[in-house]
Amino acid sequence: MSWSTNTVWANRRMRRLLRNGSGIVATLSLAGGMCAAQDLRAPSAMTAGEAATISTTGSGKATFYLVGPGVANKSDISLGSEISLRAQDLRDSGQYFAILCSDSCHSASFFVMPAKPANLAFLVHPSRVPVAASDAVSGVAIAFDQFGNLVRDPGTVNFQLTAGKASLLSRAVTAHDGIAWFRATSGKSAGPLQVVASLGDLSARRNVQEVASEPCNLRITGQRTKDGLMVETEPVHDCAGNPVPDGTIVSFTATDASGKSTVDAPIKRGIARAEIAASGPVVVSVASGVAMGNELRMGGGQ
Amino acid sequence: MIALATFHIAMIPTSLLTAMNTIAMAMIGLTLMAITTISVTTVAMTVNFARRRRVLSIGSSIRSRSTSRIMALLTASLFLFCTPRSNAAVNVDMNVSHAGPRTVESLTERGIVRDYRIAWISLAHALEFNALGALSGPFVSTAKESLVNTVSSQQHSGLSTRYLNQNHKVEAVYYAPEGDVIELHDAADYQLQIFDGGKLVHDEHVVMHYVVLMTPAADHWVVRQLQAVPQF
Repeated sequence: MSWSTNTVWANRRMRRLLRNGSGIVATLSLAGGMCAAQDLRAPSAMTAGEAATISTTGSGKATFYLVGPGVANKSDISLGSEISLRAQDLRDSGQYFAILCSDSCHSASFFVMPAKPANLAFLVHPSRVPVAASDAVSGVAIAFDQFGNLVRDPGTVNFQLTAGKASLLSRAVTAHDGIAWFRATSGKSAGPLQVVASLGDLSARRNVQEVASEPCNLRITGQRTKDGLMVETEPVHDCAGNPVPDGTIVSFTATDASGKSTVDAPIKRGIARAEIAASGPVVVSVASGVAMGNELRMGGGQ
Repeated sequence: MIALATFHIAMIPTSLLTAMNTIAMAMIGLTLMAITTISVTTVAMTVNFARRRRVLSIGSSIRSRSTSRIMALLTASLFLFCTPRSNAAVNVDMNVSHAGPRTVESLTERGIVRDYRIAWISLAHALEFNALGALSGPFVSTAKESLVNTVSSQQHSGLSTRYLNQNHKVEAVYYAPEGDVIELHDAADYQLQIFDGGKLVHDEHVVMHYVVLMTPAADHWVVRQLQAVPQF
């Protein structure tokens, strides 16, 4: 909590009197004013969304101002009584200024601290991730109270990553300045990955779709047709055995006496196939992404 | 319109914005000065012509000096009127060396400094003139709601708040792995003046500590959380 007292009008009045050469009069006038003047005292700690009171001293009427985040109120009060601050005026955490003006203005500032955590904002990236990718999944949890104030010391946030019934990660992270985060390697099997952040009774759940990684161990077979040859892959999987999704492009390259030609074909139902126009002996190779497959050599008569 | 203007302003680098602002203000000032000069000269000529019929020589030099003084006063007043006080001084220095886990790239740093500065200019303008439109571009979510409530409350009670000579020492303390949120600590100092109508009820040089959350929007950074704290 911080306190400050401001006597704008009293200071101005003193400066004016001093300027006129009435130093002694000014000092007495200010001292007299201060003795009879109002003062106000705010509680040492306030919590967002809770009503509070500020006590005043002095007598007579005064104008009270409450200026802070989300509020700028003005009201007439009687000095010597307590000023009630409504809960709805103290919803936002931050610094508030309470100002009391009659002959002169006095002020006090105080902080309203956030209430207990009531909401957990949870950002998880990415929405789709290849399996077995190092540090590919990350999450950030930020704690807020019911009024949207950042709770800077919410405690420990537990992160849990679950793929199917297998637990991939369980980590407790102490939040700093309201933020806790993790970074993890994705699982080995394609499918939904559940990511949960929990803080006390609060929890937030996100889903990440784990997809197969790059194709691995590409193998092709082929046979002659009337116009050339038909080649196709065996079911395409990544290195962890997950089927590579349909639509992934597989490139077939045929090299014969006339030169080199390439055909791109998408995987359909796990298999990519292409018809290549070629005559005579031909060598066919296959690739997808960064993965190369076997070479297929076919003679002219076969 | 104001929101759109603020959005466009957010796209312009700070230095260019300052230069444009200065040029624009100077142009407005010069235009008004020219208009005033012409008006005052015309009035003076008319007065001179009318009086010259009666008194040809006596007092002509005195009238000439008075006209010059009026012109000088009007020009000075116009320049003072044209200078936007809320935009007068907002200095933002940022240190990103302790940010993590992601490193803040230099372009990102410049963008954040530019947009955070614009946010404070907009905040000061909104709270000084009780102009809600100024908040639409740079603020979103809780930060915007809180400021909108403050302005609405000020409008209702006839108050206004002025932020003068702002200095912000900003330190980036957290930058998310995917770059989708950055947390800043801002040790700010400024002159805070609170007015009830035209009456100054509070005037204090304050040192404030703000915890700030900013997130990237389509092409600029927006303030999502702006919360004063007792200390970092």
